[in-house]
Amino acid sequence: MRKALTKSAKLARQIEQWQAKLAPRLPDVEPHDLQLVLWSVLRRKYERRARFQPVPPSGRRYGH
Amino acid sequence: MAIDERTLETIVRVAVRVKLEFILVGNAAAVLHDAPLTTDDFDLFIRHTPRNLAKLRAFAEEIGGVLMRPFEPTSEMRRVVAQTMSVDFVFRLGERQKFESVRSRAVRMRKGKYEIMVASLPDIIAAKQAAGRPKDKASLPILKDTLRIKQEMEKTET
Repeated sequence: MRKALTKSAKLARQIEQWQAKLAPRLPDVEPHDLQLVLWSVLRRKYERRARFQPVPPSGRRYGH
Repeated sequence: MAIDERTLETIVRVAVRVKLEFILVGNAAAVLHDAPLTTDDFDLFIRHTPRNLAKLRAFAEEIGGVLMRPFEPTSEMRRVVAQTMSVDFVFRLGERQKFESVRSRAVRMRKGKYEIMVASLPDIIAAKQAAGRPKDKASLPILKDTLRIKQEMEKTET
């Protein structure tokens, strides 16, 4: 539980930091939408295996 | 933000089993690119070949569903309907979006042993612009914002 809280606090801090950086550059983007996209991008770091994750190109054909 | 990833895993597993190559497009693909949307739809872009049509029948059989040809005047899509999911198969996107070109820009995503080709966000946006239906137009602003946010993040990180 404490570990989850620490991760959540870290994620929230990161979202805040990114929002502070990006909001001035994207003034027409709804702050709430910005936060939702940041949350989706940044939470991947804490859910490496739980979601479909982008993989770098390997040259391997799909499904083989 | 929300798609049923279990259903997506099933789709990928069955598609691999019947050797059906596809690219995930539409809002489900946009969600995997971090767009804050919710959808129950899975739209798969496949080549329009007799072999693939046979594979669609095999796909439907594998998931215990029925292959339909819904009335869609602008496309020749197929739909597999089952108790647990409804999957649309499209043979074309926008005018200049051939399967090979969309695939060349697609992003591979992995979860466990499942790998999936997901159309790039610019391709998803272009397809929605080309479709031009009200529901496609409605999601365009948030898709474009998502793209801009991610581009800004990349710029900042490099």
